[in-house]
Amino acid sequence: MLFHQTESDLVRSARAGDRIAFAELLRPEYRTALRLACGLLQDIDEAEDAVQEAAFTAWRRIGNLHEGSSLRPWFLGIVANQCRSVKRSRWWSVTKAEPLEGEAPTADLEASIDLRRALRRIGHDERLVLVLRYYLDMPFEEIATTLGITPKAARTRVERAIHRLKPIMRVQGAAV
Amino acid sequence: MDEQTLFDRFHEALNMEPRPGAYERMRFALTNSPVVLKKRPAHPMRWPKMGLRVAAVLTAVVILIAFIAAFLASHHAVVGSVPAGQDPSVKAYQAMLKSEYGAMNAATSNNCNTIDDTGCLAALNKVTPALQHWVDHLGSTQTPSGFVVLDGQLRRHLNQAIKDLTAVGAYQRANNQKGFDFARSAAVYERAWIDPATFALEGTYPKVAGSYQDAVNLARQALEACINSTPAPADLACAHLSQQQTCAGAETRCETDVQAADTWLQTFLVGLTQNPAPSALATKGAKLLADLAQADTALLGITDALLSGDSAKADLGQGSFTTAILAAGADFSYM
Repeated sequence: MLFHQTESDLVRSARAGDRIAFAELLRPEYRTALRLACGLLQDIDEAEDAVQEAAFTAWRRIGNLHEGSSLRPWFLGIVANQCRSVKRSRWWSVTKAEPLEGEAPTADLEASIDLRRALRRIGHDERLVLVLRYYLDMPFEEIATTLGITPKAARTRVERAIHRLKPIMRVQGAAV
Repeated sequence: MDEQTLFDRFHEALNMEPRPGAYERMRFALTNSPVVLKKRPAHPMRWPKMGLRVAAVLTAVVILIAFIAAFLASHHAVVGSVPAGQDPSVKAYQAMLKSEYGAMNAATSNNCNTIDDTGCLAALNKVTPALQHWVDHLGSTQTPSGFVVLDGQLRRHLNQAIKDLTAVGAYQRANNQKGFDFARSAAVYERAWIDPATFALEGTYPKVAGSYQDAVNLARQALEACINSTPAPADLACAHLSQQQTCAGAETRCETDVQAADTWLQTFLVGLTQNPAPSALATKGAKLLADLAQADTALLGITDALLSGDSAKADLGQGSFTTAILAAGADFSYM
């Protein structure tokens, strides 16, 4: 690498122990990772912490990332697992349903709160596929790569998760 | 509910963006923490003992992360601007930076990965003139008053990058693997320094502190930890270098410390540039910035010495670094 930082260059340097290269590697993925964590945890502080913890985990496991393989699904998978751990460790906490920090009041605020509440009532794996699909706008192929499943299985999981979500939303009175 | 409605509903319900400085906080923690790559221990300890040690290290890391995140997040400013003021030259200066950065970036290549890379020379011949052009252009452009210190350090780092890249070529021709690896690592590091500094001067870099006082406090805590020999993990590189652990025979460790300390220092330089001192503290603020810049320059001197294999000169650089860090530490007593 000569002043040119392609992903594979950075992966190579990171695997050789270069933390700065590793941090640079995560830079383009940070926003997506944080949005994923926000979608799963619905708390910006916890999301930031989760992504940071995931970054440390990824750093410790950088040897598992093979040259030529894409960082994004690998890292997002670690972020998702980290969020699962956060959820487990705070099972006792009171879940919040108020507007997210910085959220401007809108006519659809109630509907948004209902959706967030409904998302909290389904399982982590179902929430994960829905966030990947409908919040991060991922095609089924990318969801499949992130989860290590086939595109067909990804589609099925998304459909199943929607099927789970709908009645909860309906009970809450939100239009679905 | 159709697909498009689902997309819309999810975006409305979950739409959140990273707060300013979020990535930087992670980067800072990542590059300054004691977390090491996972390796099988040479002499495996019994699990309970190892578990305790791992827990202790993890606790220290979590405390560090929480401290940095709390400090920075509690002051989460939302503007990524620099103190442009009313200076009419700011826009022209920032446009020049953007143009030169773009030209440099376009001149980079994916060569010189190894000493056997035959495209190395051509790559060097392309990127080095772009860097030199940038340095020359900076020299012929009026620097806005608020940017003088960071601009000066950017020039030094650009020049260091040119030296590193020149050394890459020389070591390749000499088939000197160790020298090649060292020079290449130094060049790659310079890119990691040049990018944030450029973006900060352009006004597109996230704010690392919410106010001048926050920026001062960030630097004060780190420098005091380094100087008082009770460094947090993030301050260890500074402590190693300022406590005169000689580079002789430990060039790799020294290089790592120099790069970590330089990233550490850059955070303070950027924070203080993004948040200009109030007029009542202008003189003292200028002195602090100058001392921090002096420390950064000393680190460049160490890199230069290591590049040429001159460990005595590297030790002198460490002396200069220590002097500058102590001077910067003393500045806080007047603020």
